[in-house]
Amino acid sequence: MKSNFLKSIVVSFSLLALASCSSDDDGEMDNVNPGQVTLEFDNGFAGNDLIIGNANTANANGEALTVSRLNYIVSNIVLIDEDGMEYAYPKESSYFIISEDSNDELADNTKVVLENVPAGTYTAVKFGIGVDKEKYDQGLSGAGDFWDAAGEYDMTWSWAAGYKYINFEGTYTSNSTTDEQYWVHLGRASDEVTNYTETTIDVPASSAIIVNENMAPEVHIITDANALLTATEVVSLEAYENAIMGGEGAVKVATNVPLAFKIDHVHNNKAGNSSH
Amino acid sequence: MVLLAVIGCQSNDDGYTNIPVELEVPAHFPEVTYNLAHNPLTKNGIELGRKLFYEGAVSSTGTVSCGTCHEQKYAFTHHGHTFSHGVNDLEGTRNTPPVQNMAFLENFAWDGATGHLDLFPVIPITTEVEMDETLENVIEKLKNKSGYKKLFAEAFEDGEVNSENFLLALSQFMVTMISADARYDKYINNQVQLTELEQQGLALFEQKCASCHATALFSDGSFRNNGLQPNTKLNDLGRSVVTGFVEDNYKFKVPSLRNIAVTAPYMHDGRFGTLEAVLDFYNSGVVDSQTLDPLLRSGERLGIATTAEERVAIIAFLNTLTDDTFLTDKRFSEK
Repeated sequence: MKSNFLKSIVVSFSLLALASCSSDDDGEMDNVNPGQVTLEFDNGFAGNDLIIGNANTANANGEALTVSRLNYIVSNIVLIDEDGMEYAYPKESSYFIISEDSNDELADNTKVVLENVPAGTYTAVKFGIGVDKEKYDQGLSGAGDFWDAAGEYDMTWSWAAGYKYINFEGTYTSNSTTDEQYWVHLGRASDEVTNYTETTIDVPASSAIIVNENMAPEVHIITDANALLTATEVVSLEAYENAIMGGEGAVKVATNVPLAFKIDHVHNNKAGNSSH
Repeated sequence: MVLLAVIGCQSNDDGYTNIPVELEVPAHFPEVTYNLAHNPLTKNGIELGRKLFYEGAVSSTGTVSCGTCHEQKYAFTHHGHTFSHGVNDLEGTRNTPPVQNMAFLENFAWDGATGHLDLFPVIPITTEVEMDETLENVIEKLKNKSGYKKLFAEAFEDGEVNSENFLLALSQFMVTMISADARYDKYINNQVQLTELEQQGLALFEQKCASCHATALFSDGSFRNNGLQPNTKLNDLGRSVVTGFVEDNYKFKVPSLRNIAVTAPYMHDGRFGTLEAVLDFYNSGVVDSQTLDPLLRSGERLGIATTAEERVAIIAFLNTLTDDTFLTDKRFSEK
């Protein structure tokens, strides 16, 4: 986390003109007095702040990571209200690159601003990490500049052409090795092994995301980089020769990914104000 | 013969002219896998794609286009090259596969490096030994090259010269490249009769080859280890390079056999110069390994047993898959 205000570049898929714009409204909420919701993704490491370039304490494998890059794609955002009703942010605008990178030429992206969210009291947020099969199968149509932006943030692959969902790199030190480079790149292996995951995280008890035309709530989400390798599947970097880019290692990381996120707190700001 | 029907017309002030083109799918072909609803074919989109296919600016040196290694008269392969040469005469490690019937495939490249045709061109463009370029640079070069602004404006409603429209145009062109007018197709459509030898070959083919080389595409699209002795110098692991799973070691996509007579050399590494050599290999050269395809194992016997006579008949049949209409179709030529 950086204390200064972070320049936020939100890149989204642009909509191609659709021949038919009608949609089934059943079960959807009326968009009365809509407001803005900001999701802030604050990278942490095992309860501490994640500082790019600084060593963290050793994880469950005895590997102490120094992270140089944690970039990921957040997609398909859904807000769930107290009655369990779901508001899905328009899919074509729902792909975002979150980035903290040691490359100073890349602006950090930590905030996702959702516009025109129907008024309501929301108690959970659901989202995907990566690019779902439906979007992948659309190829480049509607991608606009998203492919290029993803390329800029090293979130595309050419040898297995597609998006990287997570690009998590740095060095680690253990009993057997010092300052060893590691690469964890998560992406689609095949139609059967997509490694795309979704997570649903609740707001803390007795809190809520209150949305209406007068409010601009900010949802503070902590992403625990440590959990990517340890949440439920304990993944040793050394065991995978420092590079996890597919296969069993990637599948294990994908199992951990949904568990890396939690909502720390919500600021129910008045529109026009920002708490930080 | 495949015809593209023009079914309507719509324009805007920026030169965009939407002349929809309907893809006519041969009746004996499987379903189209490419999602045409997301990238509707238009006359100008296809034409832009054709121009881009033969555009050298996609490479870092400005000299290597898609058409350099994908030559029409060899069913868009690099005839005579075991491996294809890219920029600065660097050589790859795999044999150039044909560009044909792309609208019907599930995966692309020998190892299925991508499951979407739109993303496929990214691979050769960015590979060091092929075009060694970045997509961003390609787009910059096209923006500065005369003519392209107009062509993109005519082909796409938003008119942007960007990676989305670049790749969509290439896909539109490749989707139209259907080979379905070989003697075999005419036989299926009751227009010609096969010779006795060719018919024998067809019967043998159906019995011994068609479980993998299935459907009118002559491939089931799966990844299999066909028992080639790995070339230790290259140690190409094939599909597992993409998936990372050891059970995918040495598996490669089952290639289509359409136009096979003109696409020598054969196999992912182009090791066999003739179809005779390929059939000899299946008869007596298959090497066992952990991932060898089960269909190539019956008890102790590996491979596909054939007599010399049978091999002659099978090759006679394979020759009926050559589609001269496709190999000379002006719509796919550099012009």
